[in-house]
Amino acid sequence: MVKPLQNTGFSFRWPATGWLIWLTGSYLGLKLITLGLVLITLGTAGLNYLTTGDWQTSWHTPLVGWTMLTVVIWLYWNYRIKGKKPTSDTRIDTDVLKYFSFHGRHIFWRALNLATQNHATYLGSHHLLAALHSNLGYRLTLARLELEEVDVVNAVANDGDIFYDVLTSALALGVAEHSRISWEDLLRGIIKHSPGLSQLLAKDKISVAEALSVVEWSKRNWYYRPAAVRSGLMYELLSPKRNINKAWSARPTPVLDRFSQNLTELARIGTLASARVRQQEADEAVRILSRGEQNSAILIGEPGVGKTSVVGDIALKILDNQIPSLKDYKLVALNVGAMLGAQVSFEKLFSQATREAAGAGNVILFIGNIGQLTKAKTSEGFDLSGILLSALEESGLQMIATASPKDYKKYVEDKEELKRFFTAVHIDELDEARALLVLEDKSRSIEGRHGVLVTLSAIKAAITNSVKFIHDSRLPDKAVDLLDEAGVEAARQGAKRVQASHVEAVMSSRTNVPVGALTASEKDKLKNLAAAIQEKFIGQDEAVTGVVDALKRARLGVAKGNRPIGTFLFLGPTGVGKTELAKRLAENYFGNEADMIRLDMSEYQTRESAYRIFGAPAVSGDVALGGGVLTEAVRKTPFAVVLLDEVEKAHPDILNVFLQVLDEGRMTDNLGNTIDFTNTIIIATSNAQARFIQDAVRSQMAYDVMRDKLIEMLIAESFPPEFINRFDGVLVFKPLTPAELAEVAKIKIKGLVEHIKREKNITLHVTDDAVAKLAELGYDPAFGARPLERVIRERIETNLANQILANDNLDEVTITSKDLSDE
Amino acid sequence: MINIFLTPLQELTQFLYWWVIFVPRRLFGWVYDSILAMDEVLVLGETFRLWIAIEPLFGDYGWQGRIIGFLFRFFRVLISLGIYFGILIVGLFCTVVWLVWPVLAILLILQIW
Repeated sequence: MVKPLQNTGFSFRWPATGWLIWLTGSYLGLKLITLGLVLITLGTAGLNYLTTGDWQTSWHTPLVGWTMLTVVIWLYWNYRIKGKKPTSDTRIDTDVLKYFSFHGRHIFWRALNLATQNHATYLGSHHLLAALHSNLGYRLTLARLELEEVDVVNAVANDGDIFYDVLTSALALGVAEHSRISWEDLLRGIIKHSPGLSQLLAKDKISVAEALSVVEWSKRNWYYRPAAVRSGLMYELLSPKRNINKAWSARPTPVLDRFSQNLTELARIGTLASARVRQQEADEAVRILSRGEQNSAILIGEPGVGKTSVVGDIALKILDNQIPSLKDYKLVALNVGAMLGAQVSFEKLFSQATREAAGAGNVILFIGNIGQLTKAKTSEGFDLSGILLSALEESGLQMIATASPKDYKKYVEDKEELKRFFTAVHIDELDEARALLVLEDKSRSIEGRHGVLVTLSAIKAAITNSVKFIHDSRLPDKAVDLLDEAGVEAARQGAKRVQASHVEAVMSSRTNVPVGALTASEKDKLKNLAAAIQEKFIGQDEAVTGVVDALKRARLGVAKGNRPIGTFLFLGPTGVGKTELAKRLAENYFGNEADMIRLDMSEYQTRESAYRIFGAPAVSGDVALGGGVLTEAVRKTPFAVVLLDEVEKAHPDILNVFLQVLDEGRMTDNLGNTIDFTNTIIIATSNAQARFIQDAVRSQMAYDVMRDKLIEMLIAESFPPEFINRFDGVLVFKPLTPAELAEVAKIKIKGLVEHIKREKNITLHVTDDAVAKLAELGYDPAFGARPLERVIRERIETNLANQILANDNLDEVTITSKDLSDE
Repeated sequence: MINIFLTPLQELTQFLYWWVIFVPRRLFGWVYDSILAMDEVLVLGETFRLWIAIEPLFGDYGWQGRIIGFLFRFFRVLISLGIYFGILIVGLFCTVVWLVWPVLAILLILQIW
């Protein structure tokens, strides 16, 4: 006899170690004996019959009696070990094991074995977890949560005695689900009550509720088998030939059968999944369909929100006879494409199909995107909406339709005669919590197609990233697409699991925005960014530091995420490098100088010019054209520098347009799309108060004092205070000194030398005294470095052009200060 | 000590409960589920109602449709009833066989029968 553990009350008639082996072995043995006896009996009786020809004596043997008895014993044993389903009266006592499934009892006894082997005095949750080791569902759950088994067992080892809490939870789950307690109930009990496991999950930002849903998800996926919808028998079942209703009362519908798909049949063979998260909308649609009059429903929602899943759910409910008034009905999806491709006139087919659907008496017709249908006219000039209307009016057709809000307003709601037949059901975009459930269901097909396992972090990343970066479609569709692509990416890399990094890689390649953790190359780039910019950008160290620091804060996640990476106002005289810094930033961090979106604000001096920024609104009756210059540019390149040049020249109302962008990183265009600016750096430049800056520099005023005075002056004269306040940094660009201009000249000459070598294969040498001369000629405190470019063009490039004309075989040119003089 | 007598008695009671009550109840449950599953296809109630109301077949509301509908549905009702009755008889047979099964087994072993 083994002493019971303190917290279980169980004792054993045999040594605990042997109990499980004996039980499993003897059950298996009994099965084999029963099977063997049955086969031997059949064989013996058959042989006797063949020998004697008398079936009565063949069967009338003691062997048959023993076989019959063994079968009874085996069936009884099955009944005893199967366990009972717990009820609300079930209490935890020494008989609680009979409410476990056989598999659950296996786990429990294995845990007891482990506890007694380790000389434990109580049964801990870590013993239960260790006993779950061989369970596929448990391992699947850990894989989806990306947890290692040893970490999980260690985390719960210090929990203390939570056995009764776990058992109480497991029992409550069994009662609630009316099932015997099994592995998932024990695991869910541990997740709920283990503080150690909660802490481990919290490290990976997984809540207890999410972990519990993953257990449920793993349990569902375990039993997943894709429906086989292929040609042959299944295809024959799908094709509308057998569309007679059970009571033989509905009229035949030959044309409709040919140009439609029976959704109720699809539901029957299992290709339509229940829209678990859309039950409210499905119930609302069912209530409408069950009415006596005005019993057609129209589902209104943006593309991708799941309108068709609601239709599928209705088909399932009809199939399961959950709608008494629609018993023996069928939901049929009209195949408009097939009709258009038929030899017969589309108008005739459409008219016939709708009449048949109306006259059959048991058909609900589904037409998707009804807006497109009602606006179309046939080649003969017939209005399809008119045909539909007459079917609804005269024949009592019952329909479900789907439409986007725009199409509904334009093609149904504004047509009173059509609108009165439909009752609208609004299908809104799913929130992230419900989208997670949809993705868990969709993950089954993704896993099957790509041979990978989808993790919880991948699903969460797909939802978060699709919400953040994809604005032209809706949840759950956009997250499903992203997850599917991540599955392809993971399979391509040979990975067994789809993780958040695969989703982020796909998102990065789509939007060119760096998503996810910093790579080693990105870390180096950020570390050396200031130096890289200063290779080609001279002076203005405070401005360079300010901008680079903002980038570092944003990329490392230190800054809040719901505004642009950085917003800066560059102030200074003309030609000091304000625009040049923006270009260098675009080149060094964003990868390409062309990834700079530049708006010359002097073109926006009227109020109406705001429409060029976010798009003109639709004139009544027309469709609005695509968004504005800025919104379209940011939509296509969300990761870029946005440069608002000479911002002081813009109309004050235009500045108000940017308030929301600077504060919250978003702007709504004329089509109602929200454009995300949170991956842009916004730089506004201004020459306002340039004279003050020059005087301040000359009088050697401290930088901070100069900047503060400048801001006061700008608020008083040029910009509203709320506009200035929204910038992360107001950076003053000082006039260039002659020494700095000389450095600028060197950089420009270097660029010219590389250009000439590349284009003309000519080596250009410019002596140091020539560079100094250029700097002297190109220096003008009022115009900054701009004259230098003109001087280089006139003195060097012209000189070079003349030399190339004079000498065809020119391969080397040297420019000295003498070549630059006016004589 | 009491356990030596009580435990076998409990086991015997449990066996008898399973043999006489639990399994026959399950068998009748299968019969009931089978009849319901067949009714999904045969829809006896609806067919009977339409037969009494002399509703036509496939929406043909002429006199031919009504006569053919009446005749077709009559035979359908008969066949459906026959199928359900057959399922019931099979269920009853299985239950009787089950109840006598252990007894038969013992009689065969002892060669009394």
